[in-house]
Amino acid sequence: MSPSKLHEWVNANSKRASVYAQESLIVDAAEEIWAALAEEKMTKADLAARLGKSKAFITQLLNGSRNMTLRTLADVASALGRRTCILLRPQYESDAWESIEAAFVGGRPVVSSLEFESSNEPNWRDVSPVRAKAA
Amino acid sequence: MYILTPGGYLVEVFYRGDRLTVLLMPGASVTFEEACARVPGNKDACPAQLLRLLKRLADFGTLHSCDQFRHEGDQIYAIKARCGLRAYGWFDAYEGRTAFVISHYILKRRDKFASTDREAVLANRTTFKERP
Repeated sequence: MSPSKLHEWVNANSKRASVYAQESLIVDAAEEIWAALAEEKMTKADLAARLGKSKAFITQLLNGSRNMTLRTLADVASALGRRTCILLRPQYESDAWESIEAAFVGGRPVVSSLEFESSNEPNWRDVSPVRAKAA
Repeated sequence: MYILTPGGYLVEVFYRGDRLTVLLMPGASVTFEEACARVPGNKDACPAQLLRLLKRLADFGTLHSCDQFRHEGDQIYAIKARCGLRAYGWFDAYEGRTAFVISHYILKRRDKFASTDREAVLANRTTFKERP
């Protein structure tokens, strides 16, 4: 199968592939935050108020015109009642998690959560969302 | 990858995601190149952001960002990068899957949906739907 137009553009040169990787992370982080805002029924203004920042600051973070530091990301997550989870994966399987999410659980409302131990660290608890069954 | 439809025109596959396929109407790629040439600053960053948004739309079926995924009326949607580079299109069915069909790209700062853009999308949608 011939490569898609997307892959043709991204892989035209190594600099472009690098820029696409940067923008992908920014977009993915912003989409996570937008999804959390929707689940919490919060607006950008609400988030700005919780962080003691302006609404414009949040807009700039979400559209990628302002660089989001890890500290800021942690603050945003905390303000949304969430914690940040960073994973570095091999490039060849970069979208696998997205495929699983999209195919099986994405888009369905969270109805509960499941807490389980996966580490010997004291106080470490993993929480997995339990989503509604597909129609 | 191009698909020659029975109607005799070429629809280009931008990306086939888990949820839907993003298609380009004939001429859309040309408008992308033209719009990208006018992007200020880093020529690759803003287009890369738009293309990632389109990929996520294809993989997840929707975008959560209200600022970057806008309904413009008449079931026409705009997907916008921070520099104002945007893709106009609509959701449709194609080969048994949901498709987001991109009519054209444009670079502009203001969000107001211009009548010329609306007419261009509606004309492309009519062409797409009238295919045999």
